[in-house]
Amino acid sequence: MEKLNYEKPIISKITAGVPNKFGLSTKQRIIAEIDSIPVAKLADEFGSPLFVFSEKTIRETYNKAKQTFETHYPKVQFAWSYKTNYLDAICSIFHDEGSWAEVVSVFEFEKALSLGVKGSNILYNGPEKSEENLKLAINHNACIHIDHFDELYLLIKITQEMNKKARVAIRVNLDAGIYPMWDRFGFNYENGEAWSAINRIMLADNLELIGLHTHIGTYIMSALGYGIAATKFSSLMVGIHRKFNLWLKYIDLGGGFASKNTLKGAYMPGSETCPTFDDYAKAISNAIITSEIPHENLPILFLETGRALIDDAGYLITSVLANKRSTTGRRTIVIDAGVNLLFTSFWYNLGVFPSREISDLMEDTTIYGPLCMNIDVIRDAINFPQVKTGDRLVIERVGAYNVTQWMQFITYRPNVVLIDLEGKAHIIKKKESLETLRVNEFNPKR
Amino acid sequence: MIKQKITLAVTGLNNTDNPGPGVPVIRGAKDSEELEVRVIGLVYENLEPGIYMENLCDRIFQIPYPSSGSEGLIERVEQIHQQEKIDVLIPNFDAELFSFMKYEKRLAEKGIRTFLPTLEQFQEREKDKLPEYGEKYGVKVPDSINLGSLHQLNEVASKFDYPIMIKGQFYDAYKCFNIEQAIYAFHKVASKWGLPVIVQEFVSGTEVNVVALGDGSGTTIAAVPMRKQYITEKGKAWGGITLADEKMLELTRVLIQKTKWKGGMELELIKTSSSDYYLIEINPRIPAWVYLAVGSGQNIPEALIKLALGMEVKPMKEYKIGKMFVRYSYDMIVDLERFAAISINKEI
Amino acid sequence: MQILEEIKISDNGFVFNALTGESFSLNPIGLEIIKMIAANSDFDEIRKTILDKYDVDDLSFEKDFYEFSTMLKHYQLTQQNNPLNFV
Repeated sequence: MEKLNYEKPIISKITAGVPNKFGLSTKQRIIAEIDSIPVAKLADEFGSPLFVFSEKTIRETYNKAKQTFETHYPKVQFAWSYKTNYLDAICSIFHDEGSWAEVVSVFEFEKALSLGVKGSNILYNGPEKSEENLKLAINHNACIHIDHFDELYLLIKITQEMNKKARVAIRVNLDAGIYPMWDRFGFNYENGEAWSAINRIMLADNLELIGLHTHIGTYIMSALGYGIAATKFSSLMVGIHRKFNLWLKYIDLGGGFASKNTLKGAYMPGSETCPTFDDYAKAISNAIITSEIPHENLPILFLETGRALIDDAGYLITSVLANKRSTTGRRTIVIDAGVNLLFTSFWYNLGVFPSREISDLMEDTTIYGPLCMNIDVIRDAINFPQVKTGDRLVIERVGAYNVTQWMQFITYRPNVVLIDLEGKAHIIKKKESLETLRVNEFNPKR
Repeated sequence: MIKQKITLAVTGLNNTDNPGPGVPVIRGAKDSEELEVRVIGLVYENLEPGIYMENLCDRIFQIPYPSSGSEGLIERVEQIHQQEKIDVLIPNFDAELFSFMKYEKRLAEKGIRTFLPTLEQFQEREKDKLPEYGEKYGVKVPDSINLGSLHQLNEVASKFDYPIMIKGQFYDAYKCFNIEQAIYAFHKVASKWGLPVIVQEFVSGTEVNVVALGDGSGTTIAAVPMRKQYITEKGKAWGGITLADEKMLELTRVLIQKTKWKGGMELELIKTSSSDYYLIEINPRIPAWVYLAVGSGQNIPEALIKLALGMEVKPMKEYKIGKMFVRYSYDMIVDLERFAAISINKEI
Repeated sequence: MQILEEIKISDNGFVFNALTGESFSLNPIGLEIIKMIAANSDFDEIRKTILDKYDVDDLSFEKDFYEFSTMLKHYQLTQQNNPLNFV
């Protein structure tokens, strides 16, 4: 006799309630393959946990963003935000598509140079630039985005000593109706500090002012803020032209476009509420095009968007280690990927999905990582189907920040693979080993 | 006259001390002399009182919260539609409006008609945009500042006199008499509803409300003004009375005309001692006290259904002044089977 | 393991505990097993029935059964023994 399909026996308490904000089960989505490669095959071949990037998704997302902005504005240039993901293979795809590099440290600067990016195509941001770093940037003719007056005066001094010109822009912070307002970086627009900095730069013989830069915040859900920033920059540009007869070459509106991830505490899923590239592009281009800047002097629009270009292209494959019940009867599962690999789990409710059809019986579940630490919680509450040990799960939208902010803790960081356009998987960062971890350690003889 | 038979789906059957408008909307629809309404109750939870009220719903189905994704919610409604053929759907929760507005077309293509404000109308009335709204449409609103951080609270002191109102983007409001209370309220609101926290000038006066219906082309189909006579701890009216206030009606008509508001709405206003009206909030749906309007001569739920069906509806101008509503609570005795059925089968 | 008398089990998988007023839902196999427990079948009998009928191996079922019975106990649907009475 053919045996019937088995399902684990389950009893769950019916909570009596009037409407609250927590959800009822809906049909469980499955991620069985990534770019046509079965998840199980990837995990068998490269181990678990495993970061997987899709070159196809990266290129498609980039081209969609680029085309969208170009339909609204004539001159657009993307600069890949290294801090979002600086794996060589990932940066190379963006550079191949035509992206410049946006770096915030000398490490990133050197990495960009080593990948063949021309120094003049590097935007050098951030509050941390030493005299030595600045000299490197000047020698490579990079665009230096000045963050504060101390840096400005240091540059004046260095360029005089070197008797060399530096190409500079200033970082500006402004009120774009975005909360919280990021006023810790750059010079303030509203109180006139930015205008003072511009005036000082114009007096310096060896500084060539070529652009304006701002970054209004992170994970900005309102396209309107970018429009406000673009309007304020247009006024600055017109002011600079009036006083110094100079049209700046570019304005850089930074990044901060939201990805489709769902922020903790948000009511609706991010995939439904996050503005589209079209929304951002319209808001920005309308503001610049309707300003007093003559058409022939329109600045190049630089965008340093990172998260929105790479988050969707990254997945983490992980395996179920254990099913448990807490003392309150709550279901918990333990997986082999912890918060040390998933920095973004601190602010997102990451999507976790099974890789094969399983029971549609859902239960409110807590998902723990494998670290021997209480804070290691990937999801504190998720409706999740029953899974067995060894089942592969897929965590989606983890392409941004995780592989730069990850921590090595108690074990080796895993393999990272890239699925190329032909559907072939390549290791782009190898799993750590005792040797690679120890290479810089020294144990004094006693 | 032969009544037209229609099937109406309604959410918000939570007639609790913080009631949803579902039950009064159904009562209004059932009072219609032109429509014979078959009612499909859509519920999120198994203890919504509407599930247990006799002769209210013909069928009841459980639906998933929009927070688990609009797609799932819409698919469930479509699945119910296949079985029950829904003609008109009236959503009654603020939290679900976004999803139904977003999928309005898709539902309409399947034959499920709604009568909702546009996404733009919905968004421009949000609380942190009230000053812009007031300016754009020429209504008085209390002065306000959006706070992105606590230290901005110091600026507030130089701009407003105490008391001030501290409000969350979506919900919650606290009246504060000094900086300590304001700091406390700021933290409370920010942790629950995020930033910005809205600081509003306190306008003293009487709180009055209007329930209204706009046809989407600028015409006010119905409008009834009311004053809350008793307000519960949760800020909900426990009793109210209709007013003869031409100024409030005029304000409503002008606002609906300028915004071309589509669908039901509730205006929350403060009437000052000098008879000025300040708009403090616009709820983008029918309020829970709508049956007062029905009872005083303007059947707003019926009119909304007819608009959704594309029928002509003449503006209603008359209503009885001095009609009151008094809410009450009532213990229904029900059987466990009904609870079991909605909990296990997700339908009754 | 014994299901308390006051527990009412319906054929649609609805369980009502008249002692506490709480209700529960079961999946079909959970319903099947709880009925066997209520009819005083012991673990070996239940295991045999399930293994004969369903496509599952011995150890997996034992593990699931253990979790299921722990939940029955947790929800106070069964006779409670002193857990520190190490017999």
